[in-house]
Amino acid sequence: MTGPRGRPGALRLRIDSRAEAVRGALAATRAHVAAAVDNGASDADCRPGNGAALPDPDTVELLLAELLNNVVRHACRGRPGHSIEIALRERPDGLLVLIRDDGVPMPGGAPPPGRVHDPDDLPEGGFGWGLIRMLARDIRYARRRGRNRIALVIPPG
Amino acid sequence: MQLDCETIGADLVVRMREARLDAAGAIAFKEAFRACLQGPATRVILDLSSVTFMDSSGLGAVVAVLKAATPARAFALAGLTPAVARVFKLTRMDSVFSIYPDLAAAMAEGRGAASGDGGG
Repeated sequence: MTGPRGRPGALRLRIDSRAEAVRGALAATRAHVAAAVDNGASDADCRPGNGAALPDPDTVELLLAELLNNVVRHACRGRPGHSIEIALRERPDGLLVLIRDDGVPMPGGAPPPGRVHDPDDLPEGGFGWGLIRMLARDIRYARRRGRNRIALVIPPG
Repeated sequence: MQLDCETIGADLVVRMREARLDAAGAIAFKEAFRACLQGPATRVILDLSSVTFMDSSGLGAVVAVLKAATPARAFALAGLTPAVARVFKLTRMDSVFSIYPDLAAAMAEGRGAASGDGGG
């Protein structure tokens, strides 16, 4: 995992398409958001991103996990060797998340609707996009120059 | 995957010892749980109090072990931390599990009235 930090309030990471690498990215993201939340709480003048309103680290970690697990499993077909880029940027309306990967396009050219399962059917999967749609807004997907790009905003908690 | 199994009376207590139940560990968790499933216990209690992060792959693994344990036995969850409980609630999967605040509460229930059937 490489992670040159950009300007304050932003985080950029690049990982390989493996579940263990996703864990590393989540740990780095969580630490970044937790530090930013602490900064904002302790000194209003030093709030990161000039007034950014941040979601709680638990929400960010869960959402990033669902997004990245889907990229690894579907876009990268569960195989290592694909590059996944993660960028976070603090905004007044929440945390902007950008994910890019060089895997296969989303079927139908759009993210799944994220249907809510009937719990009594005891589903063992397919929860991911339902959770993503519950926790994020302004979800956008594009296929550009052979890469997938997902953008969304996690509103403040 | 660190999973401890112990038979206490009619209960098989399975304690998760990892902090994460996620996509990287879901398969190992299911395998370790299935390896625990033996003996005459009439109920399995899965203690998740050490788990501070669970994603939907981890949730799917918990559903899978519920299916593996039932209907031969009852199945209950104990000790969901707030981040874990939230995933159950958001997906509404909390409705299909017997969930206790902690292991002691689950054990006390087992000694009293009939235990949950895993479907309530």
